[in-house]
Amino acid sequence: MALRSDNTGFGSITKSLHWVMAALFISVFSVGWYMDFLPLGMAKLEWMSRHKSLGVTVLMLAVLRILWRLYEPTPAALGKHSIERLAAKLGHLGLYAVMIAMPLTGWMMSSAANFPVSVFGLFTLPNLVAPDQGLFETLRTAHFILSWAIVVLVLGHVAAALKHHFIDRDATLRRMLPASGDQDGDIPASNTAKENS
Amino acid sequence: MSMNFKTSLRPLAAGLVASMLALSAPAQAADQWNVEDGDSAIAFTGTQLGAEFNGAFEDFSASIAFSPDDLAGSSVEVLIDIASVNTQNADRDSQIVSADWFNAGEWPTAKFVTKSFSEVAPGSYQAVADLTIRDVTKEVTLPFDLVINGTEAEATGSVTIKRTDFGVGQGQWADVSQVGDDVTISITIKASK
Repeated sequence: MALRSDNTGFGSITKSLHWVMAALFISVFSVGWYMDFLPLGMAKLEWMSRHKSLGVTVLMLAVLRILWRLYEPTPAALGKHSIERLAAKLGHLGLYAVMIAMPLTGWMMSSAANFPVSVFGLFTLPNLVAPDQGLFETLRTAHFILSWAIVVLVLGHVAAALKHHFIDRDATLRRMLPASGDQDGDIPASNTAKENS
Repeated sequence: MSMNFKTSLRPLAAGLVASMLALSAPAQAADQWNVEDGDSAIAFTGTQLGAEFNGAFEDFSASIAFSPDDLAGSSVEVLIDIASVNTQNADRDSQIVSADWFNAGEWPTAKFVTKSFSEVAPGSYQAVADLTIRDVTKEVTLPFDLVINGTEAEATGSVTIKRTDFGVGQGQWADVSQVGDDVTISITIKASK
């Protein structure tokens, strides 16, 4: 499997980023909700610490991913209708936006609360804004709303992938799977070519 | 004989008065200083989840008698109002004063009382003092720099203490993995005489 993507398939770097970030999305989201329900105590602080560290990891990977995406070709969308391709485009843009905005609002929230972010205890991030209770409340609301925006975007993303796989029966989902590209037979070349034309 | 007695007694009496004055002199010789509240601060830096945060106790009062040439007669007593803590986070501030931490309901004031001063270098001193937080008193050594310009003086210094030495952080909070044990207290005191 090539490191870089080409016009029909994803390279191993993009696939790795995709799946690692998918796992991180689920982890950070679950930890975020879990810690929110914990009473103030050691456990809550420990989970907050993990949430922040994982969130910053998402931010770093998101930056790498966007830079990498700008550098390599992107496989053509397989949607049959232009409206589908437009929806896919908007959905992906939305996902890129939240993978930056979500950690950033969290980081700013921590700064506004005078609660600096340590990443796995390895290093501490600089404060983005000065401590400000009012700003903290605003950012917390933004972080909360974004969490639901992520739910909508991710569910839409998964539903679209399943629709491509089970209804359209195209390679959209399969070409993002780790093994695809190893066996070219997995992706019906003729089908792919037709949809790209 | 009687004449001799009187004449010999006089210098003795004079010497006695002089020595009594000399004994009481040190307490009066050190200059009294008034703290300028607006320019003075008792701040601290702690760690939470591995990252440093800072705060300050905004209300405190200090009685300062200090003269560089009379360290033995110098003394400082500082009373700190625990409830005046400000870490720019209302949730954290309410935690700090709560029973598990400073328990300001029971022990509203922290106290710093010097026992001795020594000069380390010109303009640089060390104060050995009893620091009382909650119901625990421990000796701490505060190194500080002092600049005196006529009737104005500024002292800056810092000392790192362990919060658990003073029982700050009870129960689960005695664990120092998430809220660090070391707390650095930094003082900036501007005073005039």
